[in-house]
Amino acid sequence: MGEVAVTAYVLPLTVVRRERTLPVPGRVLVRQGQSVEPNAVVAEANLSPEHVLLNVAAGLGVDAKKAASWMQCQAGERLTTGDVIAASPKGLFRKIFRSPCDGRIVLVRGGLVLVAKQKEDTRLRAAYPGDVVDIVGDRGVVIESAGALVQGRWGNGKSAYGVLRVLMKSADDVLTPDMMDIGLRGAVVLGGMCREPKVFEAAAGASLRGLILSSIPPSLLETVRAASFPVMLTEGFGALPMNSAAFELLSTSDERDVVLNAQPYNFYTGDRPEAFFPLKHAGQVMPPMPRELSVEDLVRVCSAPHRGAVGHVVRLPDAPQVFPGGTQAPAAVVRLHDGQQVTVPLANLEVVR
Amino acid sequence: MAAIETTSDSLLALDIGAVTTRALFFDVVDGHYRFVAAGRARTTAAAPFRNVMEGARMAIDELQQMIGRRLIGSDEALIIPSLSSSEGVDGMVMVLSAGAPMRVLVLGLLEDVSVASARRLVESLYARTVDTFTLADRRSLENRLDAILRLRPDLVMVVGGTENGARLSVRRLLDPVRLALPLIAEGNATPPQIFYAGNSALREEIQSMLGEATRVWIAPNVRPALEQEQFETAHMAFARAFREHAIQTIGGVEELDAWAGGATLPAATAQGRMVRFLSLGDVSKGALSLDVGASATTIAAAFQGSLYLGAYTDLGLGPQVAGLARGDAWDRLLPWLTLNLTPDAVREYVLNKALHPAMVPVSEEETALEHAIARYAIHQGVQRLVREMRARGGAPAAVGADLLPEVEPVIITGGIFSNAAKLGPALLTALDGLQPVGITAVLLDRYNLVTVLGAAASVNPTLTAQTMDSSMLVRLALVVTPVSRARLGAPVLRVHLTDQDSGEEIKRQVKQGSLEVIPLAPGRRAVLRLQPLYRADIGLGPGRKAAYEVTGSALGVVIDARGRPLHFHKDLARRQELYKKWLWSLGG
Repeated sequence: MGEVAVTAYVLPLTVVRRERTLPVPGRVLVRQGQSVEPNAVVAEANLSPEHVLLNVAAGLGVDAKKAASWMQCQAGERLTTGDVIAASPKGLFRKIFRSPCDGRIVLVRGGLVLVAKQKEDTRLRAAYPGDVVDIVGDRGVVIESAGALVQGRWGNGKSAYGVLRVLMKSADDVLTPDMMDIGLRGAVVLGGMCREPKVFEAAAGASLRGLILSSIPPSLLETVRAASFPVMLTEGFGALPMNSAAFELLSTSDERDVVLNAQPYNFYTGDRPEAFFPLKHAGQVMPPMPRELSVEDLVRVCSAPHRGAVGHVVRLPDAPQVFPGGTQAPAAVVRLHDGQQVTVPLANLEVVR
Repeated sequence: MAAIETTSDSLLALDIGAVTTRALFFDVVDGHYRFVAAGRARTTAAAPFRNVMEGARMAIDELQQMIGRRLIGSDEALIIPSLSSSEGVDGMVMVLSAGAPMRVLVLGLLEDVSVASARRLVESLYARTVDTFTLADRRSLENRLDAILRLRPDLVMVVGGTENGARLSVRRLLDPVRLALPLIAEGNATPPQIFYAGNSALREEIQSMLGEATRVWIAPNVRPALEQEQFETAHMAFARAFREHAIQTIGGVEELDAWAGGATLPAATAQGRMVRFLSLGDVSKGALSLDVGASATTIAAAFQGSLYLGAYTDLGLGPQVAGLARGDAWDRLLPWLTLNLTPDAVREYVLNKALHPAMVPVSEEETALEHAIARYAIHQGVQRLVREMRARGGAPAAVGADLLPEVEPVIITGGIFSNAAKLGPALLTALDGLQPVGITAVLLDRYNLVTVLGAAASVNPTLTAQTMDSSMLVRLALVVTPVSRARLGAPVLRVHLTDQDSGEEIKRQVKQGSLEVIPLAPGRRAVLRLQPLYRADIGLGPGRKAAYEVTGSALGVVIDARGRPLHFHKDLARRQELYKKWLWSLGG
């Protein structure tokens, strides 16, 4: 099978291009070529629009044609409560139609006026420090940034920028609530496996900016989803140690600035959560494109009983292999870092590049 | 490898699934159309490629090596028509199930009438309803406008008004859409397509009202009268809107669609077309095809040309599988489990599977869990399809309220079946989920051929007919299901099989609650005599006996006397014991 291997990037030096866009059109606040910091607002939009349809003709007691001729504003104009929208010619019994709210006129059609109510816009931040290399319509930008990259498997949909503090000494460490203290305030913490909901209470109490964990049990899923800070899992669910490639890079990055973009994994777009360590003057090495799996590739196993283990491909058998459960699939023979040699379906391997 | 000698009218079929892309080659061999070979690769719709062409090229590359024929030219384009027996191909078709489900806003007059028809239409493709506006909607016009701007549907499906019926109400339904379209355009966003399948008297008005702002599809009225539904013609129009959506949202589809002469079909549509065709053969029974895929579980059943089709995106074994770890779905899944696992262990598997949708089960435990999830998903799909049959009418009556009418053949496809080294577990999963009644042949389609042949039917019907006749599917078993109210352990069927070649005779008395196998290897011919006991029904009426000439299959004749509907034991240990016994009967 011409198998393009699924690739999880763990790269000490690379250039990334990340699209930062709003789900709906709004206003882009930066220009192409501009340098931005992670906290810079790059675009804003009203994500939950609220409109009011004003029947001006009915309000003035005239037909639509007459109301249209009395309009004193047009689409695009901003209004504050009480502003005159339409009025009859000056006279003793002058009829006036005023705006009931603050907002912007989006449509004038006959005797009808549609007003978008003034609401606070949602602001989209750059998240990554770097250069704006492209503008995506009215929705956002593409930012290019150089640095180190570690992609994870699951994220709770939030992002932050801070300094990494490493609390792990080995890939199978467990993060406990007592490890959280006020000295971690404002930091992104590298923990390991997490089993207790109290860790998240303690993390919130210590005002952490984010958490990078290897795994959590499914029972903590809702707690982590509800956390006010970003949480990224490098492996997934269960009691899974961190894969050695990610652990090596992350654990040697103590005190480095880190972008933690815990966007959820999206099967359809391929977007993944990631930790990114920006570096200035890091060169222009783009991440390698995924390709067919080859002997000597560094891979991570995604299925039991070796889930999370990392090793090198030593052989790619021609024929599909039959596994203990009775599934037959194309496979690779992998020598894990602990010396074991195992046969794993190709579909259950991720190339680590 | 040496080139396979062929004459003309070869066909390349591309099947772009959520996880796997297949390239299948058909050609004339010894005067008949045959399926020759298939190459496959991982689908590359997602990052970093974001273009299905890459995966298609890899699948075609593999195919080229297998058949010793060059299909792609030096200009990177498909060589069409063929230049010689070793270069090019004469035609191409494509089926597609990759990509996120299309998000549809349904606008209809009455919840139980036109809106119900629209929802069935949405469910017949890889789509989901994100909101519904009806006449009974109490939301203000502004609220409905805001909902459209917030939800940003890919398509607005407008239904309602019987022929020469309501007009004003349909116009009113469109008010928020008319307001939303210019606002969406103002933001330089892609406006939703409009799919109109309502009162045909309004067609021109709808076209002129909305046609300048966006693409408008006009379909025949899906509900021309209160008691009548025109599902199939509306579905075909909906399939064209789906194709357009795929071209807009999935990189590479436009180019591949051009190779296919613009004839790309949603895989579910092609599957449905083929099943509809098969149902025309035996007027006493319907035909059924089941595809358990990553993007959806798709079931197509047809009876004398009337098609019932469901592509249930929430029941796919890919990213949506995480939904099984939540709320009610979890409670419904539990009875299907045959392993002594903690709820956390099952959730753990399901959540990790959602993060690695292509992952295949390795251990016995994972495989059993994957099959349990598949059985549940299939059964849920069947329940919905049966509800559709009841709502639309036209399908024959079934022996039980939640059961399928009699169908033959049953064709199963999808990784869960085709990756199984042993065929017994695959058959058991299909039987448990579908719970067919009467007598039916179950066939395994390892390459999803039935679907691509459905697409091929429009360009080369002879190829479709001849390839379907060429035994390219694995005959899994002939399944006989006696349905009775007999108590557990009571004899319900006497079976007498006489091998026509060797003369060997096998006699069995099958008891209620059991699953028995009478081996009859592929290629063997036999006479099968069935004598129901205690008014058991094998699809011919209570107690009616029958004799058939039958041919062998991988598992032989399977008598499924476990009862309909299947009741799984509440006690896990007993359930586990029974499941093992059934698996053992089917060869492990």
